[in-house]
Amino acid sequence: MMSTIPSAAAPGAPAPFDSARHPSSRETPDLPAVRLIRAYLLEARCETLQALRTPAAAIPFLAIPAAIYLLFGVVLFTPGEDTAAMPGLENYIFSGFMVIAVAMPGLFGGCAVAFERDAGLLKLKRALPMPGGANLVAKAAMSMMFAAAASGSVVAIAVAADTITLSGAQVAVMWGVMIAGTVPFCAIGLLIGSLASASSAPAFANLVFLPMMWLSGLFIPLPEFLQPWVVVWPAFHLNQVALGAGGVGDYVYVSPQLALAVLAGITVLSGGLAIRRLSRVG
Amino acid sequence: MSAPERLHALDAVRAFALLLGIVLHATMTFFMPLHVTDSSQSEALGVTFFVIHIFRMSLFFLIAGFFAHMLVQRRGFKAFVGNRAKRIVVPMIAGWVVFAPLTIGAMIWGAVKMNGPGALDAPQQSTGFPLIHLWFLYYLCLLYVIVLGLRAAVDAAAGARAKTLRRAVDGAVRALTLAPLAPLVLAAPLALVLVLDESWIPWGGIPTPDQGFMPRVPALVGFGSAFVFGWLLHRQLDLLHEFRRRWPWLLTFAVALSAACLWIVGSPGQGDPLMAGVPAWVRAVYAACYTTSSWCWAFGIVGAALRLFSRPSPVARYVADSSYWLYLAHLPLVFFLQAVVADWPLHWSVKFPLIVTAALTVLLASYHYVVRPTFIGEVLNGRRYPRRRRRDVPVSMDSPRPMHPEPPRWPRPTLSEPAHREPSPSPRLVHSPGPPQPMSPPGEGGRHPEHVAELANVTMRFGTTTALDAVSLAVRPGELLALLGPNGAGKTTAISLWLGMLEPDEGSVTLMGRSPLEVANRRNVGVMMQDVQLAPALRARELIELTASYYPHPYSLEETLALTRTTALASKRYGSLSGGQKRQIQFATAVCARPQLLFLDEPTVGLDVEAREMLWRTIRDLLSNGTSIVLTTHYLEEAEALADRVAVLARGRLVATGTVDEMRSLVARRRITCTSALDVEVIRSWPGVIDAVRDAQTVEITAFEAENVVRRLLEADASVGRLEVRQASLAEAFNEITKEAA
Repeated sequence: MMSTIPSAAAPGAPAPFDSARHPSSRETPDLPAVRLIRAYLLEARCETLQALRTPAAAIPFLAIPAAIYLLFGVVLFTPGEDTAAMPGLENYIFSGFMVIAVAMPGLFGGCAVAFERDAGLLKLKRALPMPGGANLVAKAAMSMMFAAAASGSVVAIAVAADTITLSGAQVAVMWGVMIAGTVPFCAIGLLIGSLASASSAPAFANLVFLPMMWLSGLFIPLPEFLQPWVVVWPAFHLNQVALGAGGVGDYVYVSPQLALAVLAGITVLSGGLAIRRLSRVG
Repeated sequence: MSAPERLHALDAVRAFALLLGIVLHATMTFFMPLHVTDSSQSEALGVTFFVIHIFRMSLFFLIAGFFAHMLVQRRGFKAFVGNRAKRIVVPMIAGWVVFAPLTIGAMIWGAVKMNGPGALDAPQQSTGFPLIHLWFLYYLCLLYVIVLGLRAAVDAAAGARAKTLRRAVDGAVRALTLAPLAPLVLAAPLALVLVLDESWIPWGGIPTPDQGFMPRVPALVGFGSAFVFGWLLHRQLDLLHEFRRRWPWLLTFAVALSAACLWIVGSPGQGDPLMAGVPAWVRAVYAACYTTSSWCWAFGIVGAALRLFSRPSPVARYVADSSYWLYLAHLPLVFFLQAVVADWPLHWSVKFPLIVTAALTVLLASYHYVVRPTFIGEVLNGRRYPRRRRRDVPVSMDSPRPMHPEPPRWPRPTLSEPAHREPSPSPRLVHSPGPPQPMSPPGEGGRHPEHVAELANVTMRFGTTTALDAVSLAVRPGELLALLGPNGAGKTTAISLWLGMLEPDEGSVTLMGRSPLEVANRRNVGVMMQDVQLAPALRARELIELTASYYPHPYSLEETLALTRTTALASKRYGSLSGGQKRQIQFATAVCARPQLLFLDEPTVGLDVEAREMLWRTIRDLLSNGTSIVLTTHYLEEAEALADRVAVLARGRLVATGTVDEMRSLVARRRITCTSALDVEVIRSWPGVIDAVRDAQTVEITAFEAENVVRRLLEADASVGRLEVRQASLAEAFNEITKEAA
């Protein structure tokens, strides 16, 4: 490809204005649908490439959930003892770790928008005729890809170690719910990223993520006084949706529809506030 | 402390007292049987209620008395009555008509929901007209009448001695305020009334007079004493300093006394709220502690607010304005929410915050959209805020970050506006002495259809800073317009307007005759901004392709690279490039659009000579192919090398526009330097000389008619040496222009 290009010194190799290609009239130039889709895809591709090229930032998302699942869900989990009192606990723990696997890339992927803000990039994109929200859609898509991979590794470990008692269809449904469930976390991340500076955004995201991981009752039993509080965490609701959809009835505490509504509300509220702020402040 | 500062703090205190009422009422179903009894009972919320109830209304009436005196003093008796009628009586009556049925309805609904329809059959003990929570407005009116009546009576009775009497009262209030035991003394009347009242329920403090119009003695004495003390306090504003100084102590005592009360009476559900079996002296001690605690709280909170919230803040102001409505409207909503959540199997620590949050959200939304911009807001707060407000927040010039910008309102009616506008004021240079010079007027008002971009009489303010002041400026097809000016002159603001990132406060902005706010209208426009770092992990090629994807007819990657002479950088990661190379890639992303109009904000900052030459060559290529370019720069030689026209901005005003030559000849002044023994004062007096300065042996003369001046110079001083005459450079012209504009 490179060899076909004229040398760098060649002045004005192509004709900058080609009246056939460039309408000199004052018509508003439209972006054809194909090019519009291409713009969204390119944005997502660039987003993913950036993440892949900074593996130090990407690896924890992929490795941590799998590693802790391996530890708590497989190595330290002794079916006979643990499931006697609570049958099906292994499935609940499996689901909980998938939630963690999707919440991390969602939150941290979203809050990466703070870096773009600090770099002035969002201001530039506001000035450019970027199709509406392409960069945010790209962020969500990238987060979902990472979430799919991270939760997929939890699925792979569970299947390989044969720790769960769910059918293939149940696992597939739950996995699908989880991947879609990245979106609310991404919206929260975006909100954090739209408010905080680049240096503080990851700290704030951790401030949300770490308590949520422990206090949502995903994989450790909570003391009684903390139990009612699980409802404030989106992770709890995603887990409830997944368990409900997967038909793991023993652990459904809140109706999946209600949990889904809560997640939708969080997404609309956080995402809406973030978009509002980003489109004004940039 | 100046008086206005105090008022911000006291406004905040009043709002605090009212908002605390919402919290107070929200706690009630969690520890006592109301219209519903919550399934999750809480001692903690009972204690919360108890403590808030000790001081909240006394605090409110203290502030109310203070502000009442202020109003009488500032506006006179008549205006006071009119103002109170509008702000207190009208809300009381209208509020009752609207909120009483809703409140009672919410209670009935809750009772039926909990206990079935039979709940209604239970005998209702009614002790009078239900004032609901609006009783406080009724008592305010009573106190206004009592205090103003007393005042008039004193004036009539004391006659000439009224002044002496006032001074005596002020002296007593001062002595009392300065005394450490003030709260105890002030509490005595109420404590006495309560102890003597056989039917008094100690747990509940001052019985809430929310039923019947007949004034209740404890309420009248308790709230009346607070009101009167607030009234007298305003007569001697410096006394507030005492609270400001002592607030930590006051609050400490308040907490301690509240704890003592709680210890005596027992927490809700444990002790006997009636204190039936206890000796009378215990009741008396309790009453003293309770009422003293009330004053300690009130003074402590006022002092803390004066110490911590004296600065005006838009948020505090908004909350203060909204609190009146919030309090008026909250009760039915809170009762309704309590009934809704009463049987939910959740812990109170979830339900209680939920009620408060949900109520505040609904109330704030109703305030923002229904009250603040309408006549209701005018009645309650004395003024109406238009819903759409111009952003008026201070922001830095180069990174505008409006905090409350309006949503875009377009399509703007740009084409329907009058075609001709007044040109902006002509530059002062034109009025300067000397021969008239060719120069186009700086104002380019009037819409030209062929202009690719236009600012028509645009004014842009950021808070108190005017970034652009009635600027009219147009970009003609195929030209390079250089925007020159010192930092903060408004160059970046102008570009931001053209790029649709800002909306002007006045005037109109167009791109190809259309609004730049619409994304589609920017698809002919390429952008290179200042202070942008592109994604460091992406390769230059990827960045160019990504930006190109936004445009309908971009150059191909290869074309862009060749055109901008950046082929060698294509596969490098952006983060690994040097500063100058990064600018080149940013330039390439701007060019790849195949733009009809290209905005370049300081494009050559940080470039080495070679890179700059390459960039200039590309710019010339683009110009020769018909692209219009707007370029801001600090480098005058850049404008000299490239620009067809130059526009000079200084402090937001367009001070001159013209070709580079025009600009240069605009300052027709020549510089004459020579060595001479002549007195500079003499030289200055010659015709055509603007200025003369001496630096050791050298004299530097600025003049319009250099030839005549040189002739005269040589005549006057034969020893003149090293004579040099030159035309001012653009740099000098530029300095002259901006200096004169400043």
